[in-house]
Amino acid sequence: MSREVPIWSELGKYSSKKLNKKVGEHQLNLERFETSTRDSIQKLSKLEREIKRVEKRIVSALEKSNTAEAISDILLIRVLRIEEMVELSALSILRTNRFYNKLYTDIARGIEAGVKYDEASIQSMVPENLKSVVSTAIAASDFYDILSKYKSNLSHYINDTEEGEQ
Amino acid sequence: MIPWFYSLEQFTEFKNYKPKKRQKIIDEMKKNVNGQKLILEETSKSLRKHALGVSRRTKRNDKHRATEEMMTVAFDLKNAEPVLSNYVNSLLLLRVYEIMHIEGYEDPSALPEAMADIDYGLYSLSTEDELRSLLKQTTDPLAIIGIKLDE
Repeated sequence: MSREVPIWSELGKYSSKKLNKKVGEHQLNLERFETSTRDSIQKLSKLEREIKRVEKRIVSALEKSNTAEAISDILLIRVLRIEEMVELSALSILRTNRFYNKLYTDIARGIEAGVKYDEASIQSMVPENLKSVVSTAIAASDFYDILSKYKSNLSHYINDTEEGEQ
Repeated sequence: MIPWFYSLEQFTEFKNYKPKKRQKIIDEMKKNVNGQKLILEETSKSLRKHALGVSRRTKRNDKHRATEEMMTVAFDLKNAEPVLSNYVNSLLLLRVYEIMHIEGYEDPSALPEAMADIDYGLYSLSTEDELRSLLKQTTDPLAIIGIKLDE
């Protein structure tokens, strides 16, 4: 479900004064969403650094045959990856709102300058990568390849605890 | 975008609340999220402690005690699952409410037609099962390499 009245049609009916007022409001909204987007990106960068650090620790433990220590970090990495996915999803909503306010102000200014808009022109103003998948795939990383090498040790640890550590 | 974790009514109600009440709800949710994160951090510490115990006892050839420690690690990992599920639900809800609380927020369903079909990641999922399965596939290193904790 999308808005029923297209933006250009709604804005085209406003007086110049009302149009300016709307631009002002949406400009403020845009600034708020730009700030929140920056905060979200900062949070994501921090999470990604932490994920890399823990992945490195897991690989190092596996290389030293400390399988149990590697397993103990698995929970931590799951928590971090969940936080990363939630933040990526939140970033998508923030980005969409940021873009919407930018679109609104750009169209309002265009209308004031006599530009004619229609659905196709609006469509062409929406960047294609705004619609791209957030992150349903694992980021390119050697971590899971490395982990696979130790699959039998890890699996043995989870499913059969009678033999002691490998 | 009407995810499984909140009803349309709950969503509309939140939007209609005054900022002060919205902030109060967010603060309460933050408290829950922090509490759940604390449990996960403590479980993680306990896992590490027992894992180090396994290494130590294995080096001393103390096989039975090492086995007990290993069982505790496996047990802690499995028992963390319900907390993890709750944590992700609470965190998702908290983030969406925090965003809705930003002045000028527009729900994706009220955006122009040209902005339809945007992928909102976890917020695009419609059932809890979908969420669980996606998280398992993308966040659990053991599941990714084919080891199932729940077997």
